[in-house]
Amino acid sequence: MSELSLAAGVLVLVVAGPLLGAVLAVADHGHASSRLVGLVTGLIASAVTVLSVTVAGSGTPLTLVLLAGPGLELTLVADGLAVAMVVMTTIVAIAVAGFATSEDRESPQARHPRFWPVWFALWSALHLLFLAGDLLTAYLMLEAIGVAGAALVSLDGRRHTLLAATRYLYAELVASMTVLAGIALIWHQTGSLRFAELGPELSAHPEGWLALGVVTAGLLLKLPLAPVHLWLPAAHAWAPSAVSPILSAVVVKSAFAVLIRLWFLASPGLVTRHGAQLLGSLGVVAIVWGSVVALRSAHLKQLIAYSTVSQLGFLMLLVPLMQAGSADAWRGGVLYAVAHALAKAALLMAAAVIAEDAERPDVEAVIGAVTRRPLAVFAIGVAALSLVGLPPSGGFVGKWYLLVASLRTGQWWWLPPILVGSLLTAGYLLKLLKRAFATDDLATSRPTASPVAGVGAAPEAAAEPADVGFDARGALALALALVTVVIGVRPAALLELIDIGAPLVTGGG
Amino acid sequence: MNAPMIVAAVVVVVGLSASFAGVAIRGRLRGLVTMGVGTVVMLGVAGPTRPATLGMTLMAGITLAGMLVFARILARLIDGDEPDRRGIDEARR
Repeated sequence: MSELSLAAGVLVLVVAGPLLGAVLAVADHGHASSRLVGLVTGLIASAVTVLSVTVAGSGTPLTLVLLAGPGLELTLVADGLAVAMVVMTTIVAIAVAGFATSEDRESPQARHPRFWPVWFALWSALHLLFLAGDLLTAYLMLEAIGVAGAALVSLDGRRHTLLAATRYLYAELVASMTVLAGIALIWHQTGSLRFAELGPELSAHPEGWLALGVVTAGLLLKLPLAPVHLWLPAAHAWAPSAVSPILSAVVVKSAFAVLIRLWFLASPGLVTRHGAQLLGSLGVVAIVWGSVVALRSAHLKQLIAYSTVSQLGFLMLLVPLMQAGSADAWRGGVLYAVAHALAKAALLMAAAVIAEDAERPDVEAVIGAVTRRPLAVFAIGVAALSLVGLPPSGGFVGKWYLLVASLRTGQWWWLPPILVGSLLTAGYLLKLLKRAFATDDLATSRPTASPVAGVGAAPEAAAEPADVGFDARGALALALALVTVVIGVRPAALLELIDIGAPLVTGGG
Repeated sequence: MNAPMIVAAVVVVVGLSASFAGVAIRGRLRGLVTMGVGTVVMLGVAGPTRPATLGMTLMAGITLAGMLVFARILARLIDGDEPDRRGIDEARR
């Protein structure tokens, strides 16, 4: 087999592997065994490893035309952005798969039979979205991700989760239709939806900015960026513990990846200074709004969900800095997206372990957790390091590149939001860590009334460390958080990967 | 934009407004269905009538219809005539 056909086969396997998992889970009546999950995740991990090594080794994007029929084109493009996002998705998905199988071992009948098929299908849609070479495929995958995400949120069938899933799906529908209207405008003006062909055609057309603006509006709702984020906290907070990490860490990056690909790889000539500054300003609103609400939040997973709203604001700062011609902004933004995904998934997994242990969903569940779940608390600490942006972590490297880009482009006004946002992030995460290391006295005196009916912990149970044995789920959360430290210590390989096929890398920065 | 596209775009805006104006879930769903019809028609008339346009319109229409059917199922599982915030606020309390 030639080198090219091997790479093409691997590229197909990266997308088809999770789909195979979905089919096998359906065949297994939804109760995917840990052996099946391990086999499929191992296969996907191998394919993603070979893909990333191949692309990094060649230094050029890999393109594969799978289908070239009328209206049914399918081209996969594995450039630096796509491969970095696929690697991020795979690492988070493997950790979440381990987390979920560990939950299954503890309560074998608790998992809904539709969980694994939908979860694998979501994974496949994410990979195809990141590798999509045209806007229509990306749009179809955004729809698939929206449906799968809402389905996973709604699985437990309780009224408030159904309502959260409904709001999530309705926001996704409005966003999808807005994106589709923008696609119609682009198709009308250019006669093509391939990312590689959009630029010159769209830039030459006087209504090009309108088409780009409509698609961008839909993507901002899908992201979601404040102030259109209101569907996110409920959906992410009420989702099952094995679903929140993938939603909050990876699914939110899907619209981000399409947005920056469209703005800077497909149609850079259309991006105006005013438009880019507007998006950056919305990012600042998100940073402050999300952080302030997170600081005031009493619900543990809701605090983390608002943290996601805030962190998405940091990603938006990439836009004005890239528009000003800084390649550092691209590196910083994409690397921060990867680091955020790993840290956020770890944080949510650790929070789920602690909340379940304390049998309450509010932040008071964390009181004294270091004696009961030390690995989970350690995971929160390491994840906080990256989210705040302290060295050595991937979050630090990402924010550093954004700060450097702000100074090099003369756009100093993005420095205060980055610094203040980091301080606010430290504020709400230290709120959790302070409670985690609280003394036994405080743990004993914590209130026992639960905000959720039928859930509450007896004071004696709260005071005495339970013998939980080896905390496999806490260990997985910690391992995931430690990957951000590895990125922080050795960021060169990831940065080189991100540079492949990136805009401005040879001329800007 | 050609004339059919402008008409379809107006339908999209009407549907979007109706979905935001609706308080209950079912009312919002009707607005979204209107918006969906508008966007699919908009795509269908955006280019010359050739297989590429028809193929894309078919794909987008089918997936959008799938999302709307799922939204209808969710609306049926909960009481779709109630304001959608209530249950979440109750759970939070």
